[in-house]
Amino acid sequence: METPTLEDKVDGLTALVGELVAQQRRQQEFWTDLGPIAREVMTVATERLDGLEQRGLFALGREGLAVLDAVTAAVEPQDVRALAESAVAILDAVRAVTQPEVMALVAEAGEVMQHGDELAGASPWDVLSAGRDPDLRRGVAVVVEVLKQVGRVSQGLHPPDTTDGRARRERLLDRRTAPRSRRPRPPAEEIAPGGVSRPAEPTLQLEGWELDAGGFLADADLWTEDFAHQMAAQVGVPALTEEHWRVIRFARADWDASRTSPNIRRITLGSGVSTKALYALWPCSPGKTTARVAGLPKPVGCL
Amino acid sequence: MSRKVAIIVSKGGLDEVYPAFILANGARQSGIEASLFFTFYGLDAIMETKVDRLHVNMAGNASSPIPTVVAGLPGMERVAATMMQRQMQELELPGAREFLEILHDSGARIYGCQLAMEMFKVDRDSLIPQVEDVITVGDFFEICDGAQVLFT
Repeated sequence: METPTLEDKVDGLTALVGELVAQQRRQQEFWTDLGPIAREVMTVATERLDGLEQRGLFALGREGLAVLDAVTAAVEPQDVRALAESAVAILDAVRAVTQPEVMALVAEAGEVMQHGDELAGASPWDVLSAGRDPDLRRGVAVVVEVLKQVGRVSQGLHPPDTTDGRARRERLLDRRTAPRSRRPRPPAEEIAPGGVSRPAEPTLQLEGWELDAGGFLADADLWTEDFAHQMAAQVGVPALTEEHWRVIRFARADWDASRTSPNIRRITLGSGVSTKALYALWPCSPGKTTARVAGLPKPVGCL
Repeated sequence: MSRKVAIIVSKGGLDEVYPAFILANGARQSGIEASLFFTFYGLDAIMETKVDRLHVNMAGNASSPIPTVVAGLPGMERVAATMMQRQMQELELPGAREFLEILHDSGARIYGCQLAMEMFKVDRDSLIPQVEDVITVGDFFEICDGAQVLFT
């Protein structure tokens, strides 16, 4: 390639200068053109801002800043922490409200209300008989309890019941389902058998004879006159008179005939011994004592 | 101390005096002292003219097999008493007069109420001989000191 001459270099520079000049002129023209447009734009913008100013936007903004300042000054850090805690409680409440049971309740209630026009009107009788419905009664109880709580809070007389919700619910349900308190029943062991406490009768013992728990001859057919003498002595009759024997013989005969111990009325009618005399014969309990001495089981019945 | 029972009989129906008789008799048979105190309509049971004709009132009795409207008809108390006496005879229960004799013989004490007798214009001679005395409520409480008191 041939080396460029000085003339060539000057030509090149000249061309470059010319190009730069042309560029400068174009820029000058652009700014010259832009000037009026820019002024126009500035005018419009100023007008717009002026309009906003007139409508109080900036005043509002300034006030807003003032409010923000005041809030920042008034709110302490612990307030913010409290707000955070409240947020948790609020979220809990929201979660509680959206529990499936509550949602189901709301859905059911909505369903009922939607079809409310299909229900027949309730007569006074219907209202009365509905009062027996256990679900309704429980529902009314819950509503009443809620209203009471609302009343307490709104009056500010009593602080709201802040006990644990579960405990409160149990207490509420307990009040409705627990049986009415009655006089507490004494433990079984405090009640004496037979209901009346009295000293146990000393059990009769008769040597050579087998007696039952009540002191009567265990086997009535083993009775002998000797037994009668021994037993009479035991019950406080040292000597048996002829009248005693009338009674004893009648009781033995009646036993042989009916296999039952005769009661007093039967003895008096059958033996001819009067009631008065019978009571005089034995120290007490003429019916039982006759059976004892006559070797018979304890008489049953009320006469 | 020996046991005692005092029974106040304030009504004179057959079904109302027999429980008292049976209680007193049972007490005597068990060696328990027994007193019977007849007052108000209970006096009928110790009056000579009425002791054999004690009635049974079925009207207003929830346990009665006879409807109340029927039980209120005239004479029904006599019919009911007859029916009841028949049942008692089957069980060899003594009649009211005989029962009182048995009670008296067994040592039970029979008292009339003085105030009730004045009210009903009943004199001492119209009572059955088994009546031990005519007493006041104060006397009664003295007699039943330490006793179990039953009111029928």
